[in-house]
Amino acid sequence: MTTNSNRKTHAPRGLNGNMDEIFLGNVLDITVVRRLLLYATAYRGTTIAVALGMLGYISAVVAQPLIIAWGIDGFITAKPGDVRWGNLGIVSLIFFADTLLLGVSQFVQFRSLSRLSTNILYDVRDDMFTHLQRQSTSFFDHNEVGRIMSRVQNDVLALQEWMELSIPTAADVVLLAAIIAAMFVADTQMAAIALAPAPLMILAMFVWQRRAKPTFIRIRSAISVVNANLQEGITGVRVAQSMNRQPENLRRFDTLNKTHRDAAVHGGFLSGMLMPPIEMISMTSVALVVVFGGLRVYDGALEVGVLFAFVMFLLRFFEPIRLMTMEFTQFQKAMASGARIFELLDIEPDMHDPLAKENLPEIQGHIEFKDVTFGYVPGIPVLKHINLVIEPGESVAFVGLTGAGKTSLVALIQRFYDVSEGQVLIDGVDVRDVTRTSVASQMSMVLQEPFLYSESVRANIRFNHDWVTDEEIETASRAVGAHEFIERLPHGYDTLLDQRGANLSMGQRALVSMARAIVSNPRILMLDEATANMDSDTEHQLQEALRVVLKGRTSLLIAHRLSTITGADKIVVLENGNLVEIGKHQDLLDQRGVYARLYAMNFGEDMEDSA
Amino acid sequence: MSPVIRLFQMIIRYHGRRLIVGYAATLGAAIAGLAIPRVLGIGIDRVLNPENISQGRGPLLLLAGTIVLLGLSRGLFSWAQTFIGEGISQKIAYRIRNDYYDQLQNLSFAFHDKQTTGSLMSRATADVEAIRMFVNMGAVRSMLIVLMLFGAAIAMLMIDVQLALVTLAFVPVLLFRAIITSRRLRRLWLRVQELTAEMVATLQENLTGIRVVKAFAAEEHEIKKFRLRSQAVARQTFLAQSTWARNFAIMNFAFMVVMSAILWFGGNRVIDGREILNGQFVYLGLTPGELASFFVYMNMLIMPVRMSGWIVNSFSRASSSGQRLFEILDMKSPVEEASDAVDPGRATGGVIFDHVSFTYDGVNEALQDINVVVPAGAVIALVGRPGSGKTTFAHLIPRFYDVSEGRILVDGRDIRELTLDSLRRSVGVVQQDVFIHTASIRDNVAYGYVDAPMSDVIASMKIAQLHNFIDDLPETYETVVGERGVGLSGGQRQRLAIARTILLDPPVLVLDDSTSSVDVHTERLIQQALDEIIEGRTTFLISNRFNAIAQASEILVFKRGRIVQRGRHDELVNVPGEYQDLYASQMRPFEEARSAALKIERTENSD
Repeated sequence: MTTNSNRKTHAPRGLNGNMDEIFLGNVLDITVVRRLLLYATAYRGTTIAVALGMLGYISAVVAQPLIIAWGIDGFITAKPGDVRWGNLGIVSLIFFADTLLLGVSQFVQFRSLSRLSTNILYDVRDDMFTHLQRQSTSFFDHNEVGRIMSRVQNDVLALQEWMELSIPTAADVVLLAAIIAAMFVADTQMAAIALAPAPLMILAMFVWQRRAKPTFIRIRSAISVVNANLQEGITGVRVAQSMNRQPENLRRFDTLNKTHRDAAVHGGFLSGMLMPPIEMISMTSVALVVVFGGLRVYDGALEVGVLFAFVMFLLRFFEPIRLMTMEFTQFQKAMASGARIFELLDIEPDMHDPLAKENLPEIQGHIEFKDVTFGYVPGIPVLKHINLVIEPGESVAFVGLTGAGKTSLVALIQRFYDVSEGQVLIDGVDVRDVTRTSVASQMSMVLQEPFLYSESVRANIRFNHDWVTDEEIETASRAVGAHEFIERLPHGYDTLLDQRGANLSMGQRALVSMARAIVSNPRILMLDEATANMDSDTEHQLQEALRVVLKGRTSLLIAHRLSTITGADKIVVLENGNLVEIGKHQDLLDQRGVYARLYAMNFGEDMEDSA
Repeated sequence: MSPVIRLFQMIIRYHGRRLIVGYAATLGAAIAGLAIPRVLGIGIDRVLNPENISQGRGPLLLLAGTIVLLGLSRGLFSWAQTFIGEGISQKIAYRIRNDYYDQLQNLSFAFHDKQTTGSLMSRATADVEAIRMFVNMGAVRSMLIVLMLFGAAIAMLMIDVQLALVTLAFVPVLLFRAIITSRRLRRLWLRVQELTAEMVATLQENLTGIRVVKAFAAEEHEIKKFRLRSQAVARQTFLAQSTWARNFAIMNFAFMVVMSAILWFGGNRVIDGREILNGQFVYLGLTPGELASFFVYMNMLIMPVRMSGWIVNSFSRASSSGQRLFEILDMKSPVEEASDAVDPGRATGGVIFDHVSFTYDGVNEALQDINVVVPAGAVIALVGRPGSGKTTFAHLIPRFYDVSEGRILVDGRDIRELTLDSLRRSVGVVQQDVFIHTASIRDNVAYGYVDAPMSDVIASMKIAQLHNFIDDLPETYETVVGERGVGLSGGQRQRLAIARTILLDPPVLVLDDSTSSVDVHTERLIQQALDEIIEGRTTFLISNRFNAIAQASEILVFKRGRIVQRGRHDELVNVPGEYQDLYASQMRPFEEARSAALKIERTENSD
């Protein structure tokens, strides 16, 4: 579907354009976290398991150095004659038990965490997809597929990475607190001394973070520029070769590539920069423990095992802090992603079913436009005061230049959009008074460019009509003349189509899409004729198929071909959103008005009304 | 040659010295790291011995200072190693990206016909990234892992052989397990990627075909379809993650079991080896400090053992990614410039097809024994149904493909004797599928002649009948067009392509406008443009437009790869045959419509 590029510039309900991929949010965005927690409430059991696992893990980790200290002080370096309860065997067994606790709780923690995060992400994705399906057509007119894709794909992925990191990180924070508490309980003075350099570390990381952030943003945007350029190089390679542009292209690519390389090398320099201060500060803590602890051991005020436990604690202490700095950017990225996801989920569909949820009863196919005015943008109508009655079984052709309003008019019948003024009635019922599904499911549409899915031919024809039998699919295919070529495909009706049906010819795709349109036997059929050139055989086949599918239904054609138009019961001529002429082919020709002129021009260009 | 070896050769050739410095830094970091547990152990033994009390805090301060210095030097060495590793990896990635880009730019149409942009892009992104990771991790940092493992083993053996053997017995088993697991995990994650790709494809189809979904009210159907895909991703992700979680926990558990063995076995060795002297224990065997060193060494080994599986993975990833990339980098373009190719300067424009046959796939002949002599300045129309060979014919002249048999001569020279640059300067092509770059209109017009003066750009846009339109835009020639810019209509794109070619002033012109169906006004504009540019050039014209064809000095009628008819319009139109059929089905309706339009216009004017 081609969209009118001018209209994209003022997207009234579009996704926020400047929230680019490289944008970073806060480290912790309360609204985002709260909404995610809402998802977690559905999985209370798993959440509790994560918490229990975390608790078990932390206690096991904190207990380890203390058990070793007990072993050392109680039995290995105890003064001769200093008899205590137990023996080294018991201590080793307790250590082993602690180990078991550690292993099991870590497993429980990570596994439940994974269950929780995959469940939440599944729910988020599902909500997004469902929400997108609920949006009206105008939402998709204003938002590029690429941008929506990146919401569902990249942003959810960023959230996934965040969840995988954030809960272990939360566990690390609790672990830090537990280690601090354990040290203070073991020996207050020593704990104070050991932890004295820690604020320096936090300061160092804070300063580093400030300095490094712009570089990391620069690297990210540089690589996306490199890739965009590469992609353009690939898609435009034919022009480049025919114009000998390769050396110039390479020169430009090299400049961008170099910019990224230099930024990335600088990024490597910055990543490593934090290592010397961190190592020095953490080893200073250890050294302080050795000196002050050592002197106190001399005094007999401290046992050597406790001293060693402090060293073990400290070696554990600084690792999580270091990891957290590395994850900083990841967190910010995820928060920005989360904000974008919820922004999408918060967009209200601009079209609603009536509260009563009444369905349109089975229809005859009578259509009436009552003084309909419609515009995509308020104040700029593309259809003005249209009055039109179409009887059941009639075939009506709509003609007019590009932008005359043909496509918009047909779109209103399916309720792709709501009218600004007036009413669209089907069998006397205003389409806004019944559910959209009940309206749309009683009519079918054949689009200008047949859109097929990468599924079997059978699934493509059946599409959403689950109740349709295989026999009915074959009947529909025979009716449009598609059965023969389908049978000749490698697996007949079960042949899988490539993306967009690329393994079929243009004409074959059109035939399959016609079979899809009639398989549910709709009362109203809308058809946007293809403009692309086809060879005459295919052309003839399509005309033949068209004759079959239109028979006995109310049919609306956005026509580009003389033969289809001349056969119509009624021709509706639109000009600048006004219905200017209506009648049969010969009568209209005789009027020598708009239609006669259009006819002469042969409706050359795609007269597609770019909606 | 294995891609991994080739990568190593690249590293050594371009960054050999840097790599040595990197390894030296790694060695430094490893030594400093390995010394720390030993110094801690010495410190513990020192404070345990009451005899040392008399020496005061001096020796303790010395020990403490050593620890801080070791920490600092480990930090500095790690910094250097990170910087160098990252630097080498980025520079290699940069080089590969450039080579890849250059290669893609120069591979002939035959290659690009078979490739999708998606797969070429994924090589440039995912595969280059895998190689970069390998260079950084597999080639540079893996040395740290090796040094740490061996260093810690040696250090422990030097302290106490028996205890070291007890401890280290576990390490090979764990290493093996780490490698096996990471292979298994890699397969699981690859499956996650595949399923994710399927989910994304479903999403993309849903979004691009949203009109169909809306027209058929198929939202529920689509939600069900997506849900199936999304569930598969969630299930496989959970499987991969819980496999990881189990192995992670088992690995940690195994390490801790070794720790409890050290506590039990080592503790007893200390107790067995001590004697009482002056009411104090004297440690003659294993000392408590040495036991403490063991604990710290064990702690230090966790990281390298866990990383080892990862490193092995990075080798196998680099191997498959490297293969995919080198496959393209090593490809020879089917259209190669001869080593003794000449540049004869501007051509006059005589073109000869001498017994030319051509096949795309080696089986079906797209062109069979074509013989055509075109004098300089002639206008040749190529007509035929889709797939009849007319576009193939046109694409052989600038050597987008090479003939399978026979030869093509320009100004009497085989085009394979000319430099590609000179040939393509002589042959200008306006393709049917016009590619507009995301750049200003000026840059798009000057695409083949970057330094073209603005006056020339404007002049060619005037010939292409596009200048007035551009001039009305707020930013005129600086307006950005293309995918991320302002959209142009089909007719405008085509005229821009014409302007782009005119600017190069080629003596031979290939114009492909077979699919464009435009309204009468646009057609008139294009016709005017064509009339002007055809003047003085040898022109090959692929068109359905009658009046364009009617002015040709010769019409070549293609059918199934052969020229079945040739001559002028009035000679051909009255003879039964392919041309008459084509004329009746494709050209006449347009012609009739045109004359009808002209008639109406005339009547209106007279009214």
